[in-house]
Amino acid sequence: MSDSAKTSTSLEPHEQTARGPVLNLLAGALVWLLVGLALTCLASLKLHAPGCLPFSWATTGRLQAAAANVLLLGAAAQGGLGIALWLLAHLGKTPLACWGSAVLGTAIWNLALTAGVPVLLLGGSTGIPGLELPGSLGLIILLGYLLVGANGVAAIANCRRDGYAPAQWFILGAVLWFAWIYSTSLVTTVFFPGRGVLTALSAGWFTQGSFWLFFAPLALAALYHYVPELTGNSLRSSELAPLAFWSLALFGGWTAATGIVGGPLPAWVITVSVAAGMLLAIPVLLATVNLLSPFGLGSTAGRFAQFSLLAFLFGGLGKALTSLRCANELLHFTRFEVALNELLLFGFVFGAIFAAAYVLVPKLVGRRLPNGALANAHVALSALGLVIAVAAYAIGGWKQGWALNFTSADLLSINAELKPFLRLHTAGLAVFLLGQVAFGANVVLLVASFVLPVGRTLVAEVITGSAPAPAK
Amino acid sequence: MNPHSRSGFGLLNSVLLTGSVGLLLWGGLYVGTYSGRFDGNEFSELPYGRPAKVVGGGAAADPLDAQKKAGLIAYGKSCVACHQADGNGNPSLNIPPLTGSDWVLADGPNRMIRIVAHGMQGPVKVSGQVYQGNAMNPWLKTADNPAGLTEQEIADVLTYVRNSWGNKAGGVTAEQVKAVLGETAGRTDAWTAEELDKIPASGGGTAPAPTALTPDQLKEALKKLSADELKAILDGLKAN
Amino acid sequence: MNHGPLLFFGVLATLAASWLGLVAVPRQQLGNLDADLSTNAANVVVTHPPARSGEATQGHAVYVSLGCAACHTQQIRPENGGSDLARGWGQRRSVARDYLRDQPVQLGSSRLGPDLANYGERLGTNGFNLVRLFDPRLVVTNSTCEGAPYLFEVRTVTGEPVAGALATGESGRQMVPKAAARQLAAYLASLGSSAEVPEAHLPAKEEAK
Repeated sequence: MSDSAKTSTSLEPHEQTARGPVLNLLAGALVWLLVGLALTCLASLKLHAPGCLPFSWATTGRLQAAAANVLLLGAAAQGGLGIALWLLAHLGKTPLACWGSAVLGTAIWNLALTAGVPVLLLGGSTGIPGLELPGSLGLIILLGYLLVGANGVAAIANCRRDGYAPAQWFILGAVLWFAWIYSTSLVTTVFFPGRGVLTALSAGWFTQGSFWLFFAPLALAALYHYVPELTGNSLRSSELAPLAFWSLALFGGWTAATGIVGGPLPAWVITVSVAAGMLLAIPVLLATVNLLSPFGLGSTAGRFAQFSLLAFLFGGLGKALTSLRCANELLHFTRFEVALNELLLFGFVFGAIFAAAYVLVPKLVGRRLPNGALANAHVALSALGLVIAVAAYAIGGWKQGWALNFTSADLLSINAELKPFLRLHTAGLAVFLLGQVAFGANVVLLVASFVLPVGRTLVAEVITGSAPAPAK
Repeated sequence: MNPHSRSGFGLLNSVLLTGSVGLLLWGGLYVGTYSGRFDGNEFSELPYGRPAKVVGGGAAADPLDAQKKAGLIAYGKSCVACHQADGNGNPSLNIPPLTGSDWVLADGPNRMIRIVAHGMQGPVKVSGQVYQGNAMNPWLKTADNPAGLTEQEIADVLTYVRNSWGNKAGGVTAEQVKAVLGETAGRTDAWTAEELDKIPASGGGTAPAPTALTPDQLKEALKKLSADELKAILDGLKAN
Repeated sequence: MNHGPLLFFGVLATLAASWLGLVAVPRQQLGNLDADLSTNAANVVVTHPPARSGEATQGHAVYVSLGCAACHTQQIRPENGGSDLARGWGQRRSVARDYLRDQPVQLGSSRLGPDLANYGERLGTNGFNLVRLFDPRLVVTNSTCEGAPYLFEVRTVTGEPVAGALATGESGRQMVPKAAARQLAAYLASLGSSAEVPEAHLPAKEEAK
């Protein structure tokens, strides 16, 4: 394939080792994103159309569990790691130590997750929020993750650069943190759980820790690298970057009980979590101030980066403020909390991954994504759909919380008032999914642009029975 | 790519750093105040002990409580599918509500016992609204209706219905039910509203509450007793 | 920030601190909690939480498997934390001891349906529950609960009707709950945590103080 051979000289030799594993991870992430979004849409549909799909494999709880695991352990993790591996090879000027293990790890990971989805839908869930996959599948996923992550750690250790870039700190943190968080959580929550509420607390440590100490740092690494590249300016302030990293490290693991405020836990556990939740506003502000550009960024990647930072700012501050007990009195158990989580996952994490992907993928394959209209549709539909969905849940959830806690309205009328917001949310999610489908179509066209010439020459060879004409 | 700071953000940096330190101080104070001495058995974060406020507690025990509990069970077996858990019925299916119903809240349960035992048919006006086109099944336990309610269950379910969802009428005893059933022994047809209107809601069929009798009334009552009955009463009075 | 070892150590130390603080220490504080023994008014020793019947324990597994915790919570917040007590969902706030027998605990994070922590005490009768599980809209007209109709099957009556079967509209046909439905109903009927415990007193006691 002389075409790509010519253009891939833009990749340094050490970066070429990263090409295979990174593309592998990103491709898997896209597939998982589409699957996970479809499951999320179904779960959202069931909330306002409970009579739909009256099957045991399609209960709201099972759909939500499958969707969450696919989106987090599949799409976000693999997408983030793909970008991270590339950044380590690129910034560290070092080839990936053993890219074969990365490919093997991804394959094992995908196999386990593919087995996990039907297991969850057919009732094999552990019942632990965030750790629903059975322990055996979790161990296999952990193994796959370690095979991939080891490359990252080795790349940092072999870094031939003078000093570390901010992206590298965040990636080192993320890769190491998740390895420890996931392995210890499998042991202390799935295999040897504490009695009663201790399971809920350590599950909370897992879910909150994996957001603040794995997904957020991976997304921030992508943003810290690509936003200066896209704006052409350097970071506004070099002092704030390490502060953002260390404040995230200090407080990120301490918010275990922010999802159980008012619950059956000792007061000090909740108080510490609430304080840490508020203090996490510090890294949110420090990072967004450093990276947010007041001017619109023209390219698709730039727009995704901007959207991601705004989502982080609003979602992160929202999470900080809603960790307070008085806010929890109003908003706990409502759709508002779901709105913030969706804003952060779809807007911040996936937004950063897409921003990086739009710059990275053309560089890796040697040609740009073929259809500019599809790229524009991707950004526009993603932004529009997410804003609709998040606003619907935020407003609906606020009203729900107010009615639940400060009026004597009965649950039936509260749910009746909530219904239009639930419908709006499903609609927004559908629009968001459509945007990702547009991106998928663009990727398919890109792949076709490689495969079709080869296919044509092969067919010509078969038909004419002679040696193929030299490729154009 | 070496990041270097640009001028003009020194102020913003200072603001951010000051704010962060302030937030840290707040965090420390918050954790210090609201941690309940880090005790694993302290679930209330309030620093001055548990709230002394009472939430609807300390109410006198409801004498009808046991019947209401048993009535809830009977309601769940028989009535809930039509009259709904909140007693609001289903007007679109011509099922009248029990909440605030003038039939339910009448002085006495005579009509209600009849309705539950033998069913109801035809149009009926409940709280100003007419319901027709539907009928209520009989719920008395008989040989033909083994899944029905016993007399005690009918008393319990009526006590429940008359004292729930904002309804406040008296309880219903099994004796009242027994008396009504005695009066209507052999009845198999469902009642209509016209028939029930002729029956007083209270009185008749219930054991009369002991009231003071005038001397003449006492004489009349004593005349109706036989000699043996009189002797038994006098012996009892002497024993006490 | 250019020292690899410093970075590594910092990353390890911060995570280890949070694990120790919020996973290990609470486990040490609460891990040895046992059921509370007390004597009730009739001079009988009762344990809280009470032991669940076998059917109810299996019902807990059904509840977990179906994912009911997606819409229902099982925790009562204190009076200054929400309207749970005012809505009559419980008589006191939930404490750790209430969940000793739940593995895994189903605290829930969303209240699209009512809280179930004291469902058994409020509404617990098996007949009622089974109708509700089959089609919640039969019991509560505008319910948004999806129910579990797949836990029931319609059979023709040959001989005696099955005990506990629900009637269908047609004669000669009965709706028979499968084992999972009965277990789930038994579990729901067993839910209740209004006993007095050292960590949280019932309101009447507060007045006596």
